[in-house]
Formats: sequence, C-alpha cells, structure tokens
Amino acid sequence: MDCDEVRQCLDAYVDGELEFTRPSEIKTHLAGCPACQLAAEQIASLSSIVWIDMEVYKAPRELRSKIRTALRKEFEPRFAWFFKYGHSLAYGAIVLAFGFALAWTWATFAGNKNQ
Amino acid sequence: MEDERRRFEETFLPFLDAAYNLARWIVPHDQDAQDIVQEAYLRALKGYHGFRGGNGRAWLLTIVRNTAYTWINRHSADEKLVPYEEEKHAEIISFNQSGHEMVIERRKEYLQRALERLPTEFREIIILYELEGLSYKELALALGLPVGTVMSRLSRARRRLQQEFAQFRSSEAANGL
Repeated sequence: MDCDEVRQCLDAYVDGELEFTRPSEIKTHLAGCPACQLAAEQIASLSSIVWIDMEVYKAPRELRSKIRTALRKEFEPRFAWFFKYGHSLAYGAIVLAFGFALAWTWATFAGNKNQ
Repeated sequence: MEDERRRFEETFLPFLDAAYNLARWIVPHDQDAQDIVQEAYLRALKGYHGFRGGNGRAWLLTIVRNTAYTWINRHSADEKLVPYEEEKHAEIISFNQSGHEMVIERRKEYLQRALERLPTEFREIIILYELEGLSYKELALALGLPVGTVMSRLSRARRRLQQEFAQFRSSEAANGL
C-alpha cells in the first residue's frame, strides 16, 4: 500500500473499524513511514481532545417532565373512552350475553316440546 | 398500554441527555433543541413497534437527527432560524485562573468555536461518533449513507476540524497570548 491508499482509510484504521487483512497492511506501512505515522497520531489526538474538551449539553430538568407529560397525553385519547364508558359497556355485554343464553334455552326447550 | 408506555420510557428516557446534546449541536438555541427532542420522542413512540431491539441509543439519535432536519427545513422557510451568535455563546474565561487552567479553558473554547464553524453534516458526524460512540455501521444507518461514505465524511470532518482548531490557535499566537 502507498501513502495515498493508507490515508484514505487511516481514520477507519485508527478507529478500529477496518475489516479483513487491511489493518495488517496499514500497520506494516506505518512502521516504515513517519509521515503517515504522524497523521495517525494526529487523528488519535484530535479524537481524545474532542472526547475530553467538547462541551456536552445536558437536557434541562423540565424537559424530562415535559416529555413524560406529552407521552402520557399520547396514550390518553385512545383509551380515555374505555375508562369513561368501560363499566357501562361491561354491564351491557353481561345483559346481552344473559339475554342470548335465555333465548337459546327457550328456543331449545320449545323446539323439543313441539317435536 | 400503560406498561408499553412505561417500557418505552425506561428504554429511551435514559438517553435524553444524548438526544438533547445532539439537537443542541444541530440547532443553536436551547428552546428549539427542546422542541426537537420532545417531537422526536413522540415520533419514536409512534415507531416503537418497529424497534427490534439492538442499540436503542443509536435508534433514538437517528430519530432526533431526522426530526432536527425536518425542523430546520420547516423553520428556515419562514426565516425563524437565527444564526449562531458566537459572542453570546462563547465561553467566558475567568481571569483568576492558573496558567494551566487557562490553557485548558482556551483549548475548550477554541474547540467549541471550531466545531460551531463546521458545516452541520460534519458537526453531527463528529458528535455521533466521538461523543455518542456510534459505530460506522450505526452511523451509516443513522445518516442513511453507505459505510464507505461515512468513512470519508468522518475523515473530511476531522480534517476540517483540525484546520479550524489550528486557525484559532495560530491567531492566538499571532496576538501574543
């Protein structure tokens, strides 16, 4: 590999993201090329400067509660009706089921009598 | 459903700082970043069924990033997006610091300014890789790019950052600081 080829994938090499046999080819090249070695060191050094010195913005406290409220609201409309009418619906279903059972019983026994 | 919401919160709320940090580096104002993050969480909730496990952080950051770009497109149309005010946001160096602290503070300030001067596509890839630790494959998914393009973009972003950083340092040297 020549310098141009090495430079093209030097970042990925430093990041440990290169696959297959290329890392060993680059390693061999770096061992004999001070310029590429320096470039690799600069990449690593920039990475650590960014990691150490970069400003990290922390989410304001109120954002967490704002998001929680918004998420709850998102669930509300679909299920609000259930909490409002759930009991009435359940009673209705029981009455209907009881009615069907009664009708079926009556139809069965009336049918048998007629035969 | 209550369980689903709780599960969602337990999985994704721990990444709130990362989400906000990314949004804050894409848009300059706190309130805009907050709106973006809130919208991104709602989008994430809607797409939660499509989440097949794996790296939840990368998944959420992808949504934050996409939401930020939608937000920028929407707001740049009516010119509500105010350019970054460098002086207002620059770090203030206290004069009673020791020499070593001054050097560290200056380096931080220059890095901050150098990052702010990068195009958004370079800034976001630096943040997602260096700070949030996404792999090249995860970056490819988050940015919708092939891995080869991720590789070259990250490389170009670093070169540009190096140049900007060096420029601040040389201007400091020229001013005799």
